[in-house]
Amino acid sequence: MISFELDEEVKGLQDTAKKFAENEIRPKARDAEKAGAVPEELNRKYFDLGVSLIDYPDTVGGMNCPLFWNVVLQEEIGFGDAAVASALCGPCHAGAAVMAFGTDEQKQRLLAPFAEAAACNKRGAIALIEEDRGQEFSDMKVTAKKKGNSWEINGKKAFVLGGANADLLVVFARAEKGEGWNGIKAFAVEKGTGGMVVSAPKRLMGYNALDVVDVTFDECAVPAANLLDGEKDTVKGLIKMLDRIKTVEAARLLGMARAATEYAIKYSHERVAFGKPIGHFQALAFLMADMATELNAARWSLWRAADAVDKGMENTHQLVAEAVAQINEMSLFATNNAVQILGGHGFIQDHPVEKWMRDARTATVLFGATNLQNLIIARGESAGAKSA
Amino acid sequence: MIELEITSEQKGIRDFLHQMAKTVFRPYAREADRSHKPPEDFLQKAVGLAGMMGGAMGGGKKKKKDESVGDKPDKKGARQNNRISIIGAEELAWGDPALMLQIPGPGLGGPPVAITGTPDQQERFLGIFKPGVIKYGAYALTEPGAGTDVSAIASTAKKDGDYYILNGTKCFITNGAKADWNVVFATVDKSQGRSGHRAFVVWNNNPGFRVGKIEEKLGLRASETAELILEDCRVHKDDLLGGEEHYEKMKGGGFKTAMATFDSTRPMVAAMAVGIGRAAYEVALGWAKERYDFRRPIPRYRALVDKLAEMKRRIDAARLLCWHAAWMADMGIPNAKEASMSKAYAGGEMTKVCYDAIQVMGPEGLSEDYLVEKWFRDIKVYDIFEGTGQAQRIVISKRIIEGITSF
Repeated sequence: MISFELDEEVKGLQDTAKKFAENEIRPKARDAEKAGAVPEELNRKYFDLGVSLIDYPDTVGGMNCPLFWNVVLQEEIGFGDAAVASALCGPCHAGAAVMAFGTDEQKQRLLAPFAEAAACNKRGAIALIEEDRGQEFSDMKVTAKKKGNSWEINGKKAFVLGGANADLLVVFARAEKGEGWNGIKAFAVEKGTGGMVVSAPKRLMGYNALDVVDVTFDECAVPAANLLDGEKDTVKGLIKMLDRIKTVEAARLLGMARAATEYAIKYSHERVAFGKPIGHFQALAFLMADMATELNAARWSLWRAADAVDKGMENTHQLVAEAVAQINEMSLFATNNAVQILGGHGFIQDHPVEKWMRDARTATVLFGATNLQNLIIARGESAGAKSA
Repeated sequence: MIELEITSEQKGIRDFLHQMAKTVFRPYAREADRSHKPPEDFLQKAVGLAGMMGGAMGGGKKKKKDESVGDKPDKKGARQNNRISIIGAEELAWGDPALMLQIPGPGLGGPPVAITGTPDQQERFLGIFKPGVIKYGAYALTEPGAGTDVSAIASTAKKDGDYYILNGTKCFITNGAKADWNVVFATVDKSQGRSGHRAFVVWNNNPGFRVGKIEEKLGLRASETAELILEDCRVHKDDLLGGEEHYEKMKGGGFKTAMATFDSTRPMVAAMAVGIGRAAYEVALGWAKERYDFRRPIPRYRALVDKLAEMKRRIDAARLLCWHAAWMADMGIPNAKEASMSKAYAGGEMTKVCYDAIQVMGPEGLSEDYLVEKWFRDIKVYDIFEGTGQAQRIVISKRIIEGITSF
């Protein structure tokens, strides 16, 4: 029967994460933004929480928990700071790629190091998109050619998130001629591999704690054992990978939007104008009522999507797209209005809302623009998938 | 554990009601809209439906536990009425929202009688709804000068021996004219504010009760909307809902009787809006699919894709808000805020969905060849009745911002 009840264990996890977000992450958010990286000490503390591999199997040192648990966890971490949450240590997007495309041996070999004690500054990333490729990612110029016992990768990848110092980089390249995704394969490139040049981090409007780089491959030789070929169907693997990446990033953005909503609400009953707290004027009160409503609506969409992924349902790609689009639009609405409610103060860096507004606008492009999600939804619907 | 897919048992109920919606409601929708009343054929087919749905839909006499599906507790022992009702409400409203309001039964008058009525009153008022008999009850709260602000009602009740003498005018009362009885709210003392309010059950043959104007409306035309006039209307004290002792015991009095049902009915009305939005979306989607191919690498009609996708995800999100509020009601968790959220969101967003459905279809969306134009007219009131979108936002903001007493 329909239920929104969280298990006691999940509630415990939620509490722990919320405290960590409030006490450890929020106070460091500005520093991380200025430095363009998460402080080492924060990475250590996060690693010590023991949740960086929460939804990975125990065979690689993970906690074997459902994706849904990670979604609940990441909303709280994102409540501290979404950009920091995305930049924290762990296998990150590369982990999702290895889980989707790798063989059991590859999962074990490539992911288990992230569970070791020394792994508190290790992180993974993926190199998927290229410059000027628009939304059809399959139209890629980076190539991989088999040469003896290794693959040689050539070309340039753009917007690699968290790739400045990645220990594990999963690169998508065209290995064979083919239409669309046919012939595109995923390669695990480990740190120290030659023939790889990482650009200086790009300067973006927001989400600065997470570095964003271009990576150029010039006769970069990847051992044949690192061709991720547990899943031969590239589209199937991509959907599996993106479902995980998108739900987790959306959860962080949801947490940030909640932070902005709560911040605005709190401010609105402290700040007095015309003889009463500004939140007691209908124009602002109704706006905040809408922020709170949209926040809930978006959260339930995400819960439903994550739960569907855990259940292995067929239409996850569409449900995840719905959730991401809802959270995208909601977070833009919430952060924009948080600045509006704080007025002039919202524009000043003494308050975090201006940062959240920049971060939301950035995240809603980096992790899947709403119109791209809309296309996925419309295609799913057009294929005849019944509503609810 | 969270569970956001419905189980096979509820799927069975949903599929059955969907079938009813498709075969009993939808085929009469246009005719009923034109003739401003439910066709006799429809009533004969629909008469058994209200009782099936269990408590929250106001279905008939209150049954003993475990008799109807909704009273059957789930695995954790919680009741399921609200969740089952909203699943059903969405399906039937998908069939036709106006005809849904014409399903014989006590309607919105059912819940206050079931919640506040004495056993004797429940027997007398709800006992008239027997299988196969076309009868109605109704709920008369709104007045020309008291809508969203229900505490402002001006109808008066004066004690006179064993009777109360009621005076005033009620308006916009769904099925008020055809109902055997109306639950009528009046004040015994205006200076007492809300605690002066009383709820009476007024039979249609009470002396001093008469029907005024039957409204012509923008939408929901097949559903009757009546004005009721009370002129020295005599109501026996036995028909004061809950009895006189009930009001002596309870501070806040009848007002609470009026409000207590909102926590269940708002998510249900919201779910009806979802059903209408879904109906309009499906027609618009089907129309677009026949004309455009969304599977092309870059669809030429991206504006259409964005619109349809946004409609779809807003419908799904609205449904989840309804489910959340109904789940809380079943669990006994106070849900005034969440009930209002579901209603505010569904009322507003589904109005937009129906608007967009017309936009997608262009002039064909306006044509009576499709039901989309009708749903566009029908949906508007879902952002108005059972508390306007603004009334919902008052409820929500009072619960998220400290210290708001009034605006």
